[in-house]
Amino acid sequence: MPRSLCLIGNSHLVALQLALAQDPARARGWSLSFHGFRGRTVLDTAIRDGALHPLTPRAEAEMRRYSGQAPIPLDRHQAFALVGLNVKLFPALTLWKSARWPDLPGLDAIPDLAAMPPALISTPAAEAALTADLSRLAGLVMAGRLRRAGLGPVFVLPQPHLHRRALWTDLARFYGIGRALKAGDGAALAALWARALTRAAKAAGATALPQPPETVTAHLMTHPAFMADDWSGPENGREDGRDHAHANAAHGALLLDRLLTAAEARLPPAAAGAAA
Amino acid sequence: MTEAHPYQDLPPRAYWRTGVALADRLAFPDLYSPRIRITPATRVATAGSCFAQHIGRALVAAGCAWQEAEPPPPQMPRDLAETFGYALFSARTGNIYTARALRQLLEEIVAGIPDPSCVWAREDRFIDAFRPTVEPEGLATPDEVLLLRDYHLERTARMLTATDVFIFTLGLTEAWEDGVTGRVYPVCPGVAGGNFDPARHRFVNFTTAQVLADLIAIHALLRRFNPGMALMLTVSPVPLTATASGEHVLTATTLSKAVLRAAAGEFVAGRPGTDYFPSFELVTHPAAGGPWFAPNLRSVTPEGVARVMSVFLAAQGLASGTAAPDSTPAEPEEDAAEDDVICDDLLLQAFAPCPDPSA
Repeated sequence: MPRSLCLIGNSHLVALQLALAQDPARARGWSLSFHGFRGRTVLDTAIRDGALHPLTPRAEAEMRRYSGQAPIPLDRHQAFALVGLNVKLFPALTLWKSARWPDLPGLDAIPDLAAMPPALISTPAAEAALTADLSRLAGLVMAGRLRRAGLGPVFVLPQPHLHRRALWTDLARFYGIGRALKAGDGAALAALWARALTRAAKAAGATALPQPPETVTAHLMTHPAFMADDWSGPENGREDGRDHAHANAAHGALLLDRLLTAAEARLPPAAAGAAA
Repeated sequence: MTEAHPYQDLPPRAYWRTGVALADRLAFPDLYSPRIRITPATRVATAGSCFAQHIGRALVAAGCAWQEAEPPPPQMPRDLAETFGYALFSARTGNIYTARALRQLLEEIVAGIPDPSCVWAREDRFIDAFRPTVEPEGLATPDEVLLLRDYHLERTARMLTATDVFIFTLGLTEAWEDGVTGRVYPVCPGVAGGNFDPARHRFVNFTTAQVLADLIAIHALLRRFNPGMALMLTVSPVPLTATASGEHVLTATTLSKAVLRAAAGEFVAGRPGTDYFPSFELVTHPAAGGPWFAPNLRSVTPEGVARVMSVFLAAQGLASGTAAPDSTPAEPEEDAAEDDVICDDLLLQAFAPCPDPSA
């Protein structure tokens, strides 16, 4: 009897769904259940009696539209994954815009640190600030709720970094991605993001599964080979009619493999086949 | 017929009966007559012991131009920022308990280069000995400590050049001095980091004359940054957490506060550009009502803090006298009252022997 994994997310669920559709054998031994929400609507819910209940008409409408049911049963799953749900690199970039820390190589090029507009803070302070910021995001808030419900291990899969070509878009300019890379801070910034994500997930009682390293390029971007470009995604992440934000099936396959491997490792052998 | 004498035309505030016994002892409208005027446009910096944190908050709440040399990144939640020493004092100094400590900080700022002796080891991490609690997780290398201290000194220097009024809250007279460098630490080496070396570290309990000399030096140092800067003093009403003087902590507290109060009084007497605000009296004097202390008899209650700050703001024409400096609940638990301010010396509490319940 297959084990059951519940995936709750936003539009970034699609990459995993595409991967599964292309190769159903990838999830052999598992039953996967996908539940989509838009924006932060997933937080307009409550977990009780082993199910996810809508608290607002909008949440109920989204459950019915994307899952075909409301409430959504949870207690038949052995593991849970929060996919996307605004857990992304942008808070790290926002922090970089307002602060610098000693890990950053770019500091060496600044002659007068006290005069630079961003604040100089310690590396632990930067990590703590980013962790706190990430902890507010829908995916991590929801991870904490699921963990507190005690239904099974919870995994957090962040949204992919932007498509490499997005460097020249308004979105990337707003977040200063190009400037961070030019300053030589890309690797240190990515490392801070990874540590903060791990901490925030741990604080929520969950496990973070970072973006697969083979999909990352220039530390802060996603390699074009792993990004969607030809499907009509939601308005968020699209610019000039092109999608810079969503991963493709190849990326989804890597995520799915990592997720199922991690879930397998967390479930005791006795739990295998326990799904009713 | 009675001869004319100096007491004939004194105002009501000069007499105990009219100034205290018959006065509105909650508002105490005549207790404090500012010699230094603060308006919303006045650029005010605050530093000192734990109690100084309340003054900064009250000034912000009153819409004053409270100086902040090292603001935290906007993403950092307030409680986390305070854990890292932000938003408590105008600079990220941590608690400055003694006049000597402020003097040596200003001297270091003037020197323009951090003192390498500031680096203490704490297990496998490193901290700044002169503000040992601003990095709760410690730092990875001594260089990082020095880099951040250098930044701290530079940012504070630039803030001071743009400061009109500096408010310093005197906390205590006891300190531990490094016999080699002559510098004092906010907490005893070995408590929050570093190693205590009885051959090197010695206990000092500053006298009135020493505190006065330090205050005079502080005033002069501040005016190097801004010749027009005024210095306002106040004495924290918060008792000592512990004493190393060999005396009982209560009598040690009395001595410490008496020395500070005397030095502050002597310093401001006839000295232009200085002022004293009676925080200490408003909390500790029997005539001031109360009790304004929490059940631990050390932490000032939120009501006590609000009362002190309302007297200050009202005298300055900044508020009606009812402004509360923060949103702390009216009747917090004891622990909550203690947590309201960040006190380095509370670390000493961890070393206090516990009473034996079976005794």
